[in-house]
Amino acid sequence: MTVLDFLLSALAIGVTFLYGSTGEIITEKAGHLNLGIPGIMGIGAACGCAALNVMIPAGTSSPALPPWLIVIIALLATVAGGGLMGLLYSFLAVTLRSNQNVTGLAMTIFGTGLTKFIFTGLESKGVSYIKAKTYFRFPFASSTTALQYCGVMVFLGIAIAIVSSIILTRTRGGLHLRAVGESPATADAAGINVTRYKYLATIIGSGIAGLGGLFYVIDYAGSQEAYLTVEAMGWLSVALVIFSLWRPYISIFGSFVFGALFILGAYLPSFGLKIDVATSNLIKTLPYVVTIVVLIITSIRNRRENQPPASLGVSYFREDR
Amino acid sequence: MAFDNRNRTGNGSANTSANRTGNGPAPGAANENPAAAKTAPKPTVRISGREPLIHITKNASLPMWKGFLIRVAAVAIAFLLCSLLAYVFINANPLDFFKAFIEGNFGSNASTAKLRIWTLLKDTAILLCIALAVTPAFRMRFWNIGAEGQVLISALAAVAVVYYGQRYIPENQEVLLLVLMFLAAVAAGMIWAVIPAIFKALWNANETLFTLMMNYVATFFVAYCLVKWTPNGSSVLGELQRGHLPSLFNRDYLIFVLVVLVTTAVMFVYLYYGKHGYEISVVGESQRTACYIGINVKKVIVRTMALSGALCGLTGFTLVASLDHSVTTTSVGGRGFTAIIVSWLAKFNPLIMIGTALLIVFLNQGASRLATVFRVSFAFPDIVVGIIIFFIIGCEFFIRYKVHFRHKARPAAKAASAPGGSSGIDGAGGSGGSGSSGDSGNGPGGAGGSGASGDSGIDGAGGSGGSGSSGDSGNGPGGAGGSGASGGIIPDYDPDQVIPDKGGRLK
Repeated sequence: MTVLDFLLSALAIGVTFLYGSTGEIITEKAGHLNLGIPGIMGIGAACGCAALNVMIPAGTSSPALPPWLIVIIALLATVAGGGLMGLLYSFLAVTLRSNQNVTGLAMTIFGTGLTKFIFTGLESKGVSYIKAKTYFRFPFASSTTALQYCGVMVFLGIAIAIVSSIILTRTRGGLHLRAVGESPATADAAGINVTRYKYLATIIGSGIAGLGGLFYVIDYAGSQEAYLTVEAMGWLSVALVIFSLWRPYISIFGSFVFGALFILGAYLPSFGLKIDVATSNLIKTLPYVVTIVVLIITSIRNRRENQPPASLGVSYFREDR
Repeated sequence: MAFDNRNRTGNGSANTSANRTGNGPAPGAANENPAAAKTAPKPTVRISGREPLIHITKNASLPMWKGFLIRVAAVAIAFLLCSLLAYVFINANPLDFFKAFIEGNFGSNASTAKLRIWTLLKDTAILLCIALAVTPAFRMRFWNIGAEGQVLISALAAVAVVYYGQRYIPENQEVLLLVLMFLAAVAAGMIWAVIPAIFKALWNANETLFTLMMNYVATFFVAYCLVKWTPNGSSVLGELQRGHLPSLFNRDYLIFVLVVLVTTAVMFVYLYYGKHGYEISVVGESQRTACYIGINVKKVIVRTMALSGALCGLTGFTLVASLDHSVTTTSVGGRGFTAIIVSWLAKFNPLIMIGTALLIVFLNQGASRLATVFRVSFAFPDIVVGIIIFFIIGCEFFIRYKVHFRHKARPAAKAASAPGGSSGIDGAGGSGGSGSSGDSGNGPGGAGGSGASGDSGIDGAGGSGGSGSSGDSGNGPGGAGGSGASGGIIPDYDPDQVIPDKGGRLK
């Protein structure tokens, strides 16, 4: 059963990266390298937990609202929190045309700081994490195997990735969005409202990424301390974007691979392989090393469809020549 | 040309819009360009109704002092906002807020003052050193965000030398140990920086993401080594007994502060007066131009990143030899990322970087003090620094661009102490209210004879549709001429004006 446990856990932790990378792919398709994803995921988690704190404070046995409503409200709060960060980023990067790398890094500094601030504020009041966890792991909450991790949010994450993939590749809006990311000047000349697409993509993407943070803290880890490691999850999500070659449907598979590599160190002993703590740290570099390898291979092959959006990281100013 | 003159004189003599519509366009359209008059007006009327509310243009030459004033104003506004937030959320009254910043950096009495000022200097020196390290790469538009990992891995290398070497190097050969530590740290930093550079140079692999990944490889590699080196498995190395830099005047890190100051000066000369610095700037502006004038782009990329890595190595060496005497996975503590912001804020100028590094450290220390006094989260400094950085990032817009509103050509940045703009509203000021039509006279005049016939069609439409459009249509050619000229002589190195290099591979 350990193999099945391993696979299910890999799927579950992978969904954290899946949320983050789907959000980042949508943003990058609009030509914005949002390095604020780690901060945004943290803020998402913080907003979700703050909403949960209002609805199910620590110590309550039965909250006033039905569980499904609590979950939905928490998700909405998370999306709102992530979206607000996205709005801030878009205002700076789209309207004020600031340097995207610097803005993103500032978002991460600010976001992780605010996340810690909110969570330390919540520490005194607290959320009933046990209760919240069972709500989020809805169909399999009572399971004792790793199946318990695969609640509604796992399916929601996969669904969002599939829907994003369809929207990006099969709809007019997706086509416009990709045009904006490839060549904003051309899109502008074709009558596409570049600013609107950039704003929308960044805000929606940030909202989705925020869900990843909430999933990680409440659902997968199910404890207060998890907020300290959200930042690392965010950077892995950014890595996953490269790994999945800017395609959400590859990202579903990629998130599973990343999840498996991420927890491999913890599971190897139960597979009968004796490893020490030191080696397990070395194994943790695998997701990053694999990403580097993918990055190198795609740049050596240099196929046009596997490249990042052409105007990624470049602010668009209509009167530039 | 006759038409232009008439239009302009018509406006100059009588400043009413009624006069303008009657006088300006009608004869021009009828006499000079009948064909255009028949076809052009309809579409242009439609366009004139849709003139955007806000029009943004590049601000090519803003005096340096104005740019400085805008930045100071932005920091001041951000500071006030932070004090307001502190008042609302942690109940700190503004007086205490500012007091905390003073106390946090300069101490509350004579004994703490000395300590805090030294801490301020030390932290500034570290941040400045990392910022100096990333600067050459950034001037080349090589977005190296891997300073965190480069410093960490070189710190690890320095510790490794002490860990393995202290058995073989006798106690009295401390200098040899230090030299070895230094060499190992620099080599490690260089290797960590050159790997992404090689792949960038040969296959144009995305350096931002590559260097980002290298950070985490470094972090977990340090974790691996720490477990290996601590027999009890605690992963806490403890303070090394060997390999300490000597202290000057009883200050452990004074020697480092001096080294960083010298490095800053050397880096300034290297970047602004050296051949290498020139090559870096050219590669950053346009790789094709660099190729054309015979610069070996690949060599410059790898060489510059090696320099970057070497400076990160210097920082890592100092962290071990004179500050921490140990290494943990969080030895660098995000300063690799903060340094990028420090470097960018200074527009990649090493001398200005002293000021920006000092500002960031000042904010951090002050906010930390605030967090201690008011017993709030240790994360509070990050929020304050984040907000202030947002404002500085935002204010750059008002330095690089001018904002014109419809009808009134008034710069939007009035809030940020009215930057520039004065040259932009000259035309409006002169004609007193009918600013837009004043511009329309300027435009075709600047564009010359051949362009005038095309413009006259638009002008005619503008006259009947509204004064707004004629202002804009005139602005077009005039503005284009102006910015074209300024494009030729770039007054200052503008790092954000990123030109996407579609070429990719360079042969």
